[in-house]
Amino acid sequence: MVDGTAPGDLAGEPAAAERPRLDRADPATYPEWFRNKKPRANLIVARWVPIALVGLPVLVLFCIVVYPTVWMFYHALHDTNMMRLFQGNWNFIGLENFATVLESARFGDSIVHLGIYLTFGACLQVILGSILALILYELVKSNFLRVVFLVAMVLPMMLPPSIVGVLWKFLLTPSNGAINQALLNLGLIDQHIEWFNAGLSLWTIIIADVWNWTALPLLIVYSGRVSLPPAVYEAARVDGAGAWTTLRRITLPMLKEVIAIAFIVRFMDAFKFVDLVFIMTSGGPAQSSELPAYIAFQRGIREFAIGEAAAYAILIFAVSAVLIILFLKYLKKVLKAQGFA
Amino acid sequence: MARVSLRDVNKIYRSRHDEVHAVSDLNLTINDGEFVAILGPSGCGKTSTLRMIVGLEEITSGEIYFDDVLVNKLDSQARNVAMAFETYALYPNFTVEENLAFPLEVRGLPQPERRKRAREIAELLRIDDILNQKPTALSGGQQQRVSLGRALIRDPAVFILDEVMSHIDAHLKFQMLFDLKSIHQELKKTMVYVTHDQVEALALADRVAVMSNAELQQVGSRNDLYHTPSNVFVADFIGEPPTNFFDAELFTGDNGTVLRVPDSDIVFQLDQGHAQRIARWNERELKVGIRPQSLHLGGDSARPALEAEVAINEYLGELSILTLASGGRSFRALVDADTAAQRGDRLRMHYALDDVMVFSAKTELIIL
Repeated sequence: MVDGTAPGDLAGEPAAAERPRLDRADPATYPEWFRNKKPRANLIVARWVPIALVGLPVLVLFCIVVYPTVWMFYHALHDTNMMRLFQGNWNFIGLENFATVLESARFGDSIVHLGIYLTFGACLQVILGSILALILYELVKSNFLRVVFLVAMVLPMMLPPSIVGVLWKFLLTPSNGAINQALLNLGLIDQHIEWFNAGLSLWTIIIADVWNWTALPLLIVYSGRVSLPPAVYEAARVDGAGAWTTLRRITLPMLKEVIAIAFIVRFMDAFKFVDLVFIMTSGGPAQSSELPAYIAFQRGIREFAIGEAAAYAILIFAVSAVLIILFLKYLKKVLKAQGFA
Repeated sequence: MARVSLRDVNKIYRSRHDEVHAVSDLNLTINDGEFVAILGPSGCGKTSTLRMIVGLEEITSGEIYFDDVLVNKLDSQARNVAMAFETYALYPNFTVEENLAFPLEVRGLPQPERRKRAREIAELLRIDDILNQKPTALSGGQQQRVSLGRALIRDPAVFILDEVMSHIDAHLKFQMLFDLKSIHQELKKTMVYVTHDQVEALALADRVAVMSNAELQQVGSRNDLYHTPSNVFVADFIGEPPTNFFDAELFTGDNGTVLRVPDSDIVFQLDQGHAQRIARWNERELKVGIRPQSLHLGGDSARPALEAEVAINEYLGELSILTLASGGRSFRALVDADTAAQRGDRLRMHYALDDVMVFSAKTELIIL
């Protein structure tokens, strides 16, 4: 109903008599705090300020991103190695570098290794991270304990990869490493496992990497679960859904996008995964644990076969570019479905 | 079906620094098949009460019974209640049809049966054209109806409806009030309806429970609340526009005992029997209430009346609200829209002696 004036006002009761009425046309009636506000100093004092503010970062980006990228594309088409680089004497050889790379068994093997790493490393991390995140959220009800567990589980991610590599190399030392010793004492094995043998070294790296990176999908999925609307869960309780039905029909479908994003993040990291390989096995023994990025690093930085390394890098770049495009398309779809775009 | 009884129910929200008494010593029985509305302003504890009945909120003290079963410790699933949420709480990844059918899916009904029932309820609530859409694509009113449908599709002991019409536009609301009332008459189920809108509450409910400040103020039919409000709050809250209140005192003069508003020339006549009843209370300070609807224009000049000057004439279509001023006091009256009253006109507003409500100013409880 219309409620224009309270009856009290009419009778001349001083309803808001103390405060003078604000007249928008008359600045003198504005509140004192408003009139006392000091005008801010103008940030842009000269023409060169905005140019410098934008220009410097652009310049830095150019030096560390654009120039090296162009340089890489250029040398991918040349027979550059260290000697020729210093002599300034390199020749155009077309796509020969790419042919070398694509025809080499080494590259083919590394693709297989990458496939194994993606399936059992990256996927396992996301699945394990999601399970841990949901267990943490659903079963641990005390906020304090949740934080304690979360911090404990995120710690491995905070360590530098070099430390993680050295740590796991140490733990897995075949002859007297802690893990072999523990397994022996428990009676699970009766002789040392040769963790760094040809058949096992890639899996050893995967174990260390899972330990190192499971926390990332865990954090992503956990924060996704925290942000789900509690009212929906109340509705599910009232509607009579049990814990399993709620998880299967409500939680997982609502977390689908978040889990997908965790997958994508880990997949993109896989393409530039070098550190643990370098520290734990150096790709060995006999190149049995090499990944494409590691070969690029090995050929370019350590053996100075610059042209060939550039070809590796471009191939990796091409594949990850496709992946990123697919990812962005998916993200757009998700955002659209949620009404953000 | 069930009778719901709340006995001395308290709800206290405790945080580290603070304690909020949200519901205080609530006693209320909702009979089997009855439609009860809990009405009150925001923050009065009505939603907390509801959530305790549903089992989403722990009961701090007191007991809640469904028939003769103590349900304090029972989970919402075990209580077999259906609830429509104020925030809709629809499952965002389901279509409207799946949302409606989810309670049936949980109970293991076969797919064709679920579809059939979902379609029936959707038709009833006029959402059968959006069955394949996701909740994010719907307007607030549509989402609210889906949420209502999800509650109505079940066969629970009690239906709990929390502010289910707050986002539905006025025209459709009128129709849905009617529909909901017919649904209730057909199903004859116990329903509890929480709202802050008295029009909804009075239109739907068999009985209305008025809450304020965590306490139950009065439970009763529309007539009870309207004609014999238990205290000043109920008298003020029920009825639109709100009741006019005056501070007054008993005064015995030449024409018998009257209620006089100090420092003004407003005087309320009293039936002498009533005057004696008021006098027996022995209260010095009184509050007089009279509804804007009880003040009438014209008629016999011998009838008791308030004389006042028109200050504002608000035209509301069928009716007009006159704001009248007399000796430094102002009050409102509801008159026919054809009344040609203008600012400055002096009018005599008649009232019936029975329509004057008298409260104690100290306790705010009704005396007469």
